[in-house]
Amino acid sequence: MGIYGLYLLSHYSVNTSTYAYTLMICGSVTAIYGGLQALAQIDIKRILAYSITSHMSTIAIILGLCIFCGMCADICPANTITVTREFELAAVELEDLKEEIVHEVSKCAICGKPFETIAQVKYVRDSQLITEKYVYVCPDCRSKRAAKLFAMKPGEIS
Amino acid sequence: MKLNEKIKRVKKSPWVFHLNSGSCNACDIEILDTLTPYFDAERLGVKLVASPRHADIILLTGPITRESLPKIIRALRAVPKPRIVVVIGSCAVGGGVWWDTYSTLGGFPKLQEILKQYEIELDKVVYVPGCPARPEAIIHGLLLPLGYIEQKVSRIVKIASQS
Repeated sequence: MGIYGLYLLSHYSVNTSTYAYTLMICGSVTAIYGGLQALAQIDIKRILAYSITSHMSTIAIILGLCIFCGMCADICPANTITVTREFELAAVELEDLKEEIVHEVSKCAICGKPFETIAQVKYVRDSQLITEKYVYVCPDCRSKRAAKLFAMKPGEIS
Repeated sequence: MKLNEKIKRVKKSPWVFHLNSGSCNACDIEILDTLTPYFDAERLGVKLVASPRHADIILLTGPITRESLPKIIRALRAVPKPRIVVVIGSCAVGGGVWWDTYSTLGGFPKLQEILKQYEIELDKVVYVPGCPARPEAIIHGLLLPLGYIEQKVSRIVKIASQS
């Protein structure tokens, strides 16, 4: 499916619960196909391009469990959570009370492993400008790089 | 007789029975508020009755506790068909804050599995979330299974914007 397909779908006023199975089957097929294609590539850029199709992170909120206290909205540093003012939420099925948000995952600049959502990386970069040097690198690569720097002799250039 | 025809019979004047399965009483107070003159559910024919044998709709609150489970099963068995259950409050819908505690079942979906073992069929179930659910939300939830109004919510899948 990919991001663009889901993005297009979000513009139509379709009831997603009826299309959930179609989406799931399409999504899983694409994820497996993308992963297999990435295995067969030799060029590093094409590997990245194909592996994007198999990595997306999803945040699912179930309104049924929520007690509408609003603490999550208070705490959220990026101010992205808002509490609904709708109260006529009666539903025949529990699935109708679910809300999902799909985020694209940022890739590590060194090893190419997905580690955080792009929105999160952007928030960190904007709030603290010093972090620009390491915000695109995953924690594993950061520690490896730091260990390498500590092991250097005086006067050596990395 | 089909389900819709059966529901049409109770549509004009649904009698409700208030079933508390160990809730904190906030939802119960909201239900009483719904039935008293300020919100006045009686203008829609809604009337509180004392026995589940007289009831058309069951208003269920609370995260079904272990202690209340046998009583809940007995009460639901006594309800004449069509059995309509309106599940009110976050605790009853999905367990709320008690979703994994040892002393509660953790919400209505788990009770439904047990009811299946006892072969108690529920014709319609409506979930009304909220902690506690507002009186307006309860009236909305009461009218939904009777076919007065359409459901407002549906499952949402959003794509987060990257810019």
